[in-house]
Amino acid sequence: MMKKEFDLKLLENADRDTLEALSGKYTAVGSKEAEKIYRRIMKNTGDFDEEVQVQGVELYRGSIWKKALAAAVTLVIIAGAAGGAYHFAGLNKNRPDGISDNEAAANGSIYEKLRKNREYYNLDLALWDITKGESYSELDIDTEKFFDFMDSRGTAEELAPQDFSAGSRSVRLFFNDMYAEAGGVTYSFELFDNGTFTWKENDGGKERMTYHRFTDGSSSYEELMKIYLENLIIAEIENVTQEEQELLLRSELELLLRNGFDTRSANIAYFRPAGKDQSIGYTVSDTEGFRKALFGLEWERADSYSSENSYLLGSIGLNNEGGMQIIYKGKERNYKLKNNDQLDVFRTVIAKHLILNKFGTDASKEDILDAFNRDFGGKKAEFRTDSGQFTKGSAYIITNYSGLKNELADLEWVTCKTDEQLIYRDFYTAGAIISRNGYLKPQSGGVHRCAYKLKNESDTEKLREICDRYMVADMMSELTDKLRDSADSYENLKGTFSLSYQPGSTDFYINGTVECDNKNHELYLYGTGYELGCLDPRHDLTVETAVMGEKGVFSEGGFGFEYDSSDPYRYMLQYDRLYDGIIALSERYSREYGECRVSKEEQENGYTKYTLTCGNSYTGFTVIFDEKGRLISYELPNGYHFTLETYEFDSPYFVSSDIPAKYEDIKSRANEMQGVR
Amino acid sequence: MKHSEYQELLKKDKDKAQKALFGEYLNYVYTIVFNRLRSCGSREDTDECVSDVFTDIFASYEYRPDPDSDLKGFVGTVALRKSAAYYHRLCKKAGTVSLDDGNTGEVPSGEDISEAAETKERRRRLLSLIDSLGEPDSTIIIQKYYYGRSSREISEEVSLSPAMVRVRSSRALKKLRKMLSDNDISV
Repeated sequence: MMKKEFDLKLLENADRDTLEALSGKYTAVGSKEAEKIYRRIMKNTGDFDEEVQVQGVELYRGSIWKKALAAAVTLVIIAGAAGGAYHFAGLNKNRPDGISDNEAAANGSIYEKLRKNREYYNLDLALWDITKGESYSELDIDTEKFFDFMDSRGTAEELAPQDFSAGSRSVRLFFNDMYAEAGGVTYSFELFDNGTFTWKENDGGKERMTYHRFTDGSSSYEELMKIYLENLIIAEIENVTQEEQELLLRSELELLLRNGFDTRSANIAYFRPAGKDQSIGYTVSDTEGFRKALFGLEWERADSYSSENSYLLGSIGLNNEGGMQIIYKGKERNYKLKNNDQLDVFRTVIAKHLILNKFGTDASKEDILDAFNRDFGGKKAEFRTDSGQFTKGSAYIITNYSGLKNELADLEWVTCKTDEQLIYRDFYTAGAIISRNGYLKPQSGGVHRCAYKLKNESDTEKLREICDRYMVADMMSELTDKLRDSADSYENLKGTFSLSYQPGSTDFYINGTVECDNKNHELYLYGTGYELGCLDPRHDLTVETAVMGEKGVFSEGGFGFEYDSSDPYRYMLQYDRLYDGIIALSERYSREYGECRVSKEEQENGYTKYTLTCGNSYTGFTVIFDEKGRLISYELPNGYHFTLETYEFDSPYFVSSDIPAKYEDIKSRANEMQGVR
Repeated sequence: MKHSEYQELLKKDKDKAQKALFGEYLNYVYTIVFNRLRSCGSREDTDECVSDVFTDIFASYEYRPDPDSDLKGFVGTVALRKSAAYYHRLCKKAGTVSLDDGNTGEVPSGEDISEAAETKERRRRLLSLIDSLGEPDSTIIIQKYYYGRSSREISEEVSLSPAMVRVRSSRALKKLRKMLSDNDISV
């Protein structure tokens, strides 16, 4: 047998306990050798058959570590994605020490134990990849950087083994108690590219493992990669084999490409034609795909890089001859394709991922129709004057969506940039963004690299006419919005009002005062007048109502009651609580008279009058707001008419009378009077 | 696998039963045989001996009537005896004989017992120190310095490149030497 300078001869000719220990933990025979032995046995027993399938023989004991790894690899293969995550759930079953994770947790944090003895440990690093295994390792790296990294991360979530999901790459750190100053306990830390990590403690062969996750996902992994790899790269490590150099180059490229593509500027590329000052703009269609495609090519270091006929994406330069330059920390790093055979592939990758920003090309009718989102209902649109965060939109009704789309698509359009300012001025959101300035921006899902603008500016009027024809302001929405906002459009009010009710049988006329303290949600109205019945003589009236938040009380002559101020049928005397009532009324009218619509009329004094019409001609109600959206008057179809005759909003001298006391007073009278009338 | 389970399987499908038994005990048998023949046999000798062990087991065990008999114990005993026979044939010298060597009829002396107990303890401590290297280093050390496997063979088992196996093994060996020296263990 092969002899070596170091030889574990002591283990030879061992006792049964040693043999049990050896066979229990270590694989003595590989699968190929096992197949060979099995065939030999079959020959010995006379059962030999060339077709016998021995590959299915599963060895009972192998390296525990290997089995876990093999299981993980198998799962990834089943999942069909080397880059996907997989579960390490089976790992705990194979724990050699047999201790449960509950016990492990009870023994305290592995990290905290290590941290206490940090000065005794030296640190080795390895990079692991699901497809290649460990691709690079480095000894005696800076330990303190790791503790700074961990401390800056804060508390991480601890996971149950079955909830643990490893990534496809990892940074492995091995903490060695080289001089047994910390009792020979060793630790290993493995951080995966999805932000999950494990801690493993080995205390004289007794192992425990805990599972965790950083809440910021992959950024922890990248941060740790940066912390250690940039030092390694800059150090230009010597004394490594050719193979290790190549592995190092892969890690370096991975880091630098990740870093290069992880910037906003990597979405845009510029091509610099030789001998010309002007750059041509390109859009990167899929930065992640582009990064992976570049990483998938074989590179080697180069002494120089030519920027003639090259593309520049942020800190990455690519030239047509298969050269790549990445600027990292102010230093230029040059690479070239290892084999010229890959030049065509390289150029194809560039052609696939860099899209020429050719604006101004004609768009077809189909292009315009495709710009509209297929899932859009086509009933309602919103109009906005700008895209500001606090700008409110107005509701519009689309009368015929397919007509709107077709007529717009019949206009002549050309492609334009999506960030043209005029797209976001006076625009409708109606399955696509339609700007009255002659622009259309697709909303059909995915990333749109261009918008459209009218080829001829003279068509802008046509577009506006189409918009006006197919989209009409939804005044009902506008009115209800205004009613909703009305109560909040001032802080206080004192004024006089007139209220009349002329149903034609028993009419009444009341004049009085109104007082509203919006800050405290208090309202008080007091009015006097008279009632005229067709048979009754004139009958004097005193009407009084007070509202405190959600509760109201009302009294009139010999009758009174308490009510819920949100009750839509009690709004008449609440002055500014019309919103629910209007909605309720319009719903009732549309059931009785047919579909209701609201028209708007701007008055000379700047006030706005809204009129609800239902069915053919039934006038539901009218509401008038002043120029600041404050309710001035309303009239219902049953002859009920409320008007603020004089008013002062937001007076700095406003002092409310004691509305709570008045509320209590009315309430006590109302209770006495209940049912008297 | 228990004797009764093996018997049950054997009734249904002999090939499947033998394959299951082989799968379950190959590593154990191979460990025993290799351990015995390591100093003088070739890998081919080891394979042949392991094959013979299983041939004997398959030939004799199915007829054993005792359903409670210890299958693992039986497998281990066959492997020890067979490997001792191979050892005597191949190495042609008596040398030291394991206490567990079922092929010897000699009664060990008190001195032998004491020395064997001491050696056993040293082995236990050695394995414990190797274990403490953690994976994959402990596997690399055992495969390289005990089973004599090449970096390429080991690389398949531990999913590292051969170069990485070399790097790790030299580091692990450095650590192990230090630990052995500190614990006063010579190998």
